[in-house]
Amino acid sequence: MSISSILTIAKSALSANQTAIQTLSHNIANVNTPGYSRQEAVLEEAMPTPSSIGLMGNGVTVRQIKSYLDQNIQNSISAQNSNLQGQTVAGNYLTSIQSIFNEDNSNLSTSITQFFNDWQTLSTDPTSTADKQTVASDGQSLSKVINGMYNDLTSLQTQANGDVNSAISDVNTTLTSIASLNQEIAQGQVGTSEANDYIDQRNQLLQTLSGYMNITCVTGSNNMVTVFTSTGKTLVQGNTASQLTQVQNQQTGFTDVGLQDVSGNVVDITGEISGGSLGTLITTRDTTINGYISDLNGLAQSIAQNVNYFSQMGNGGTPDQAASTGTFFQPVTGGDYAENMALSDQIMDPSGNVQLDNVMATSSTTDTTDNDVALAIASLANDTVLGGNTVSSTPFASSATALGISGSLAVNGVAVAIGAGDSLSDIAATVNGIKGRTGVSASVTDSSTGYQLVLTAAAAGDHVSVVNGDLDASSQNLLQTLTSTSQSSTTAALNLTGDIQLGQGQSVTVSASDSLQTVVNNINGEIGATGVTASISNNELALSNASGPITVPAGQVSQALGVTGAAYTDYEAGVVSKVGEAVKSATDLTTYSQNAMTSLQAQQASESGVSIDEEMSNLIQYENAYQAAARLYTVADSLLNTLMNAVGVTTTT
Amino acid sequence: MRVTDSFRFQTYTATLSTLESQMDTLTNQVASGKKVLVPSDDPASYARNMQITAEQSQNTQYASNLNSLQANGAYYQTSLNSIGDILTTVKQLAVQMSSSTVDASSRSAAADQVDSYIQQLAAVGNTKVGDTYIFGGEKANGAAYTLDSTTNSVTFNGTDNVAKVAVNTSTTVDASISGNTVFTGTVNGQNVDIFATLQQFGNDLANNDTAAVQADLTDIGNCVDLTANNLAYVGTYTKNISSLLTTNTTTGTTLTETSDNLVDVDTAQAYSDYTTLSTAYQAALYVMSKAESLSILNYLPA
Repeated sequence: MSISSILTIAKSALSANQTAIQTLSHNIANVNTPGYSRQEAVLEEAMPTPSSIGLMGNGVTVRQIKSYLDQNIQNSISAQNSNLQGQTVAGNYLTSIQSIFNEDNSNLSTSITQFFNDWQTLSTDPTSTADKQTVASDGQSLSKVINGMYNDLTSLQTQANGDVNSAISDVNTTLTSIASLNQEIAQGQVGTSEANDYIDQRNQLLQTLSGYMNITCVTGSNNMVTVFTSTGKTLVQGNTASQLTQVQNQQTGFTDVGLQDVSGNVVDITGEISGGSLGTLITTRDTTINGYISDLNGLAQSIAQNVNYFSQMGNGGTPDQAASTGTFFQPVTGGDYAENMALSDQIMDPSGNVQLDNVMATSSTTDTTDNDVALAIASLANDTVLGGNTVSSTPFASSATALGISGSLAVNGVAVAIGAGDSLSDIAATVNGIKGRTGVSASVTDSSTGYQLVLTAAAAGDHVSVVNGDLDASSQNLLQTLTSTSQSSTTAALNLTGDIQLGQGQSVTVSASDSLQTVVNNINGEIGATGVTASISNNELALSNASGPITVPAGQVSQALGVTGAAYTDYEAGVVSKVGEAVKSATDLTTYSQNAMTSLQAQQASESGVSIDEEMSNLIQYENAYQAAARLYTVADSLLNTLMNAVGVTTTT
Repeated sequence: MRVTDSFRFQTYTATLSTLESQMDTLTNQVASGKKVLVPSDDPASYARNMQITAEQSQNTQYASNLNSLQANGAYYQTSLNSIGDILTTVKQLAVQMSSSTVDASSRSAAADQVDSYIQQLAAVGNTKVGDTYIFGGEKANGAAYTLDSTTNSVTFNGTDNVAKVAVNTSTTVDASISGNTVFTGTVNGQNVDIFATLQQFGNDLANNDTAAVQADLTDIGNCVDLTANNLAYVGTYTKNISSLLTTNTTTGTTLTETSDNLVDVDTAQAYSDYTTLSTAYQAALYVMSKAESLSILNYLPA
């Protein structure tokens, strides 16, 4: 108990309030700093001194600088950021894809319709050079539109790859920073006080990192955080960070993601990266865009091959997929159809002149104003393009009972004629009979519900279509199998007659007494490689194609076989609708993630955010306390003076 | 819940940005007149509208095909009327010449007339519209008939088959009428060949063979009947084309209406929505300015 104790206590009060005001200024300074958690100087009574009257208070001390941080909310925000960034990137890329397919930009559907309309016009005046010129130029426009869309899609893929590269480098910077902050945090820890600012910064970096990919964090000794990928590979441990590396994929030429650990070993983790913008970029680049490219390829292939099939019949010619003679579109031997679609050299010579004589309107060598080829090509516009590589008809009670329909299927642009007496089996056999040219094989499958003809393609690029067909499409995906309606037996006659033409102009004749099985045997009796297979399953004729759309020309056969599908323009509309749905869903998900994020950020702000009003009132509080403490000095001084005077120290007056 | 400065501002900007984006969408809709601007606005409607646009384009093409067929129909009508007129004249001549009182010189003069009728009929058979010989069938870019001026025999160079033209997604109609259908055929159970009949008639007149000329009268009558049948056919054909054109127009109108319903914006609705949004936007700005004036700083001495 002494006056000097008062001075000591006053001094502790001045110091503590000053510290509090300093902390408060730090808060005000960081009111807009992202990731900053407000701090508070936690005041505590100083250790009391024992005295005869009990413990005497000794003023105040600052126990710690407390950071208002709820690590659980922070972890939720990091996790949510993975979703948000991933969905944002997906939405952005899908919007770009949508703008490629948007009819207002692409005019693909318009170009398709125009091209086939031109053939109609040519059919009304088969020798018109003007009409032939129009067919050729619009054929070229259509090719260019498809080429352009293909190039836009691949550019987008390249852009996504570029974004993968920059994401890898950003992730590496982040990983290094997290590791060095780990070091600072371990060193900056004093007693119960943590290195608050470093922790805030590290949280911010972890949030950034999880925006790139899903991660798991474990906080260990010394408050260091260990960061793992979602599959458990270590990214940061203590003060050391692994690095992502760019590994060129030999097949695609794109960047795969490697993980180089501290000892320099590189592991490919491309498939293990999920969520976040990096994960989404990889999926977009490798899966999403490829899907749309494949849709476009299917369309280009079907149009080119079907048009060529009829064009090759021009002037008495024979369709032959292996030959370029008589083709309208250049046969594609390598690479993607959509990329390489172009007028054939027959139509446009290397110097760019259109050879109008090679624009075929008729198959007749003598009847020059006949228009069968032009009419057949024009009618392709109404063909049913079946999505998916497998197509099945509606089930028939028997595969061998005559379907009573006539018309033809088309496989890889080669018509498979069907007669009124044909059964499912006959059709399958017919398809298989020309397998040598087409690679399409047919089979009859006996199932619980009946027999089906199933056509199966062998190779990529094959497709099956039904001209006036009786096949039913059970699949709406991109073309490969076509199945007829079911028959009760594979061996009973279908009473269909006609030819099934497959692949490169080979045809299998179907007679009235043929059964499903016979048709199948005939088709499969040939060996070839067009990739389309016929088979019967559940009494349905199925045509199966390794890739590319199966087209089913409109008419009797398609109606009788119950084939449902869409014309080229409908097919294209389907793709556009698919993109639209994807964008819509990505946008909805982004909004949802954004809302979830906002809600978490509100919680975080409530806990950690700086309120100026609050800080200002605290400032008044601490300022007053500081003033009061300062007053103690005056009081103590006055007391000392009084005491000095009382004990007789004379002062000169 | 503590309300902090930074978050308050974030909320303001988020609210304003949401409202602005909604107003922007409405502005675009009203400006373009379409409520579905990109596929994601309404994927199903957008895709359906693409199909409808394609169908409209096809329908227009079919209309163009039909119009050209209708024009052809008129040419056939005119040609067959000419044939009918010539044959009626020939029939009158045959009636006159079948009388036993007609002398050889009159018959010889009549034979010359018949030759000229054959030439006229051959000229009708070679009717050319643009570069097309309308009776040539599938070989219509060369003369359909060749007339041998010495024998007056006429050879058909065209084909019996005629090209077809698509008039809707599932129907094709004959694009032309073959000369063989017009100048030959079966009437009253008899095979009729107009040129052969006239050639025979001319020869019989030249030979002054009364019995043969009388016999030719029946054949010439059959020729007139054949042409009458053909005229009836052309009438039906033209009527059929007209009715297809009507259907085509109706289809076009229906497609346009469907498209309008699918993607066109309801301007009144859009305007009303815009007003609602703009009110909300003003309210947000008002609240912001009010809330921001509430600060402890306003009450502290500077």
